[in-house]
Amino acid sequence: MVTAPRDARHPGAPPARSWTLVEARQEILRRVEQQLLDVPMLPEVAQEALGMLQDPSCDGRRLSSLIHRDQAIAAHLLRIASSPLYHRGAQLVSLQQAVSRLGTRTIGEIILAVCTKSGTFRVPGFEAEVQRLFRHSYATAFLARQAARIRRSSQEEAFLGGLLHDLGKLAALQCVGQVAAPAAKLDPAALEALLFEVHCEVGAAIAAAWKLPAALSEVMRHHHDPESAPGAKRAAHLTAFADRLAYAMFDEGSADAAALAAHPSAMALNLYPEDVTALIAEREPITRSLEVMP
Amino acid sequence: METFAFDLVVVGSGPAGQKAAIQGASAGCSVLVIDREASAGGACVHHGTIPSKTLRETAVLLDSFPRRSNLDICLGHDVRISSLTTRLDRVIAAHERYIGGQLERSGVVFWRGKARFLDAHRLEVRAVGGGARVAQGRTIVIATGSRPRTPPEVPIDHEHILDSDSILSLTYLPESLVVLGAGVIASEYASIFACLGVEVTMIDRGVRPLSFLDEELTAHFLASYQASGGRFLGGRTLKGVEWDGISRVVTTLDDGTVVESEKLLSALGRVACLDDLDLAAAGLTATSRGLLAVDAHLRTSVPHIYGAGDVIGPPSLASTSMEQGRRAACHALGIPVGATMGVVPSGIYTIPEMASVGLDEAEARKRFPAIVVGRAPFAELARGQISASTEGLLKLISGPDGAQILGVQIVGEGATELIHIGQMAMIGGQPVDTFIDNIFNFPTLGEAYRVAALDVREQVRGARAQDAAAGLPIAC
Repeated sequence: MVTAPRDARHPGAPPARSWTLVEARQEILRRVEQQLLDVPMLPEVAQEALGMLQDPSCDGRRLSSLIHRDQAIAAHLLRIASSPLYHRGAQLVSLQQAVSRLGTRTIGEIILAVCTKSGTFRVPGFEAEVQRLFRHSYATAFLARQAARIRRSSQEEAFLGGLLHDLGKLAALQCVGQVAAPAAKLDPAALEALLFEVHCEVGAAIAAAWKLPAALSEVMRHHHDPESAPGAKRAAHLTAFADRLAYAMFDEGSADAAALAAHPSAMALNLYPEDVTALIAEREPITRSLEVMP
Repeated sequence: METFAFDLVVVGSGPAGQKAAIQGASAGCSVLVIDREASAGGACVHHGTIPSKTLRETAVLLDSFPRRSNLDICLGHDVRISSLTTRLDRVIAAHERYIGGQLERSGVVFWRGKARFLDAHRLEVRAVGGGARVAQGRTIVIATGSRPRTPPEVPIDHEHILDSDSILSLTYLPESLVVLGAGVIASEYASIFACLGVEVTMIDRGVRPLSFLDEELTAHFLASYQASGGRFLGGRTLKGVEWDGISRVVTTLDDGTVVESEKLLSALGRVACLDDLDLAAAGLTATSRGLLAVDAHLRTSVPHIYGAGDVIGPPSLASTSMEQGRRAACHALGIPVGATMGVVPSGIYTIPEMASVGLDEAEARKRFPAIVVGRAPFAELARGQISASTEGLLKLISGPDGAQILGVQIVGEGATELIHIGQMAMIGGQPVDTFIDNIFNFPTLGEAYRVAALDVREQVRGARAQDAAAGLPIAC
């Protein structure tokens, strides 16, 4: 049971009283329906980005690296960069495309706007969970890209799908945190179950509201059921497998190539055991990248 | 590991492998096809011929629609790329179903897996999900195809610096593209992307693209490519390629020229896929060029093992590979195949298309004291005007008396279809006048043969008149 103060930003929310996770779930779905979802930034990342933008010696590589490892910045960037104000013509479908088309100066302007105007994740008691989310998303993105390289699929599309596939969890966690403060009494297993239950729907709702690329939207909705993706099955399978692999490598602490090669998405992608072994060998570069993340 | 015995085991399911398998099955053999991909087709279906020609077809349609309709419609960038990618997937899927269905109907067994020789008659096949089994063949056909060459000086990452397998993974049209090479694949992709509005720069050591083709043809192609905004930097040597880490691929040439582009395509040849087969276990070795050596019957040094398709080297065409696969199976099974037809056409699916059969003008001039070249610009054909396909040219290369057809060279839309008319005439030993004495449908591009033949006749008459006027004996 949790205590939920009235949230002035969400007048539809029930008044302050004890909330169950069932009610938190209902609130999440209400926000989905009314398009009231937030995608918060990590305060440390916002601070790093602002510092970078103010540093005259900061080159485009550092900026590009930042947007390629943070799912919140990436999502906001795609949303804003595709708007008519910044880009005419075909919708931007990858972060690299955004960098190439807009240039690092414009990218920097957009990130500045995102950092100063978007909400940040400030929910005591959830810090470890959200850190884990960001790290897992980056690891998934890295592995999805490598798997795409092996299969000669679009690495940019695979990376983006991996990075943003669990964006729905971040938004749902933000929502739970807002209505459940202080949050220390939540049952971790029950919370995880709630996030798992709603995150695909929440992610798809954000993708629709923000007009994110169609393939990305399908990945966010179908990465647990790739065969249901109507047009982006391969992208969904890449994310599904990378997601599983990232969990095995970094959360479970053991990645058995033979067992993972039998994963339905590995089979669908035609990844052989030696391909899976090669992906598992990416642990070190991923770990090094994660170490420098805030 | 369990062993499964077959009369014929075919490694690879591209054009050569398919036809070898079908031939074996139709002769009543038990046939196994092994391929590392989930469905049959090989690089031809998944990365090469089918997708690139589909991409080309859609690019031509998107480009020609405004010209043919005279409607002032500008198809947006996003319409183009979504149309391209959707069609590619559908056509590939359709072809996979067709090939798979044909193999199944023929009773051919298909194993998905990676094969390597255990000895001259047995192959270990490792499945994608793990596990392995052994295939034993009385006859084995190696048809494992080829893959793009990775030059050491080009750091291909398949994301910014691509090869012909990964170029098709693009989910958006780059604003600029450097293409390394000037062979068939390089020229095809360069012209396709230029047609789609991409700023393309081709770079090669040769002074002209497709140097093995008739010079006039490639001059036409180059003019058309440049009219689409393409640039060709010939006679240059590559010094280095690197991704700048932000948004540009930087290509540096030996003369100091630096070209920056959003993406780069390396199309500098292909190599045979033999590395993973463990040929030594079968008593075979690759040649110094990395190919599988075969005799005139496509047989390797091990009598019951054959090779067909790209693994044995040029011409490395899907058309010739299919025939090689069929012939290899026929020879293994003692089935007569008939005389080899030496008149093989080649088709280049650039924009515009190019096609060739027999001798080109330069080759004919070397071999004959005098030749007559008849020309038919498509602009002179009613169908050329109707279809807004006026850029083409058909060249009819004939002997000094204007009778024998030595070769046909065509550039323009439909070239790869039109060439078959000339090919059949050459196979049948028909003279040039056959195109004048027989009727063509009107209006068609095929009439170009008649126009070119009439041009030959006029030139011969003119030469004879001149000889007569000069008191010279008239050649008959």
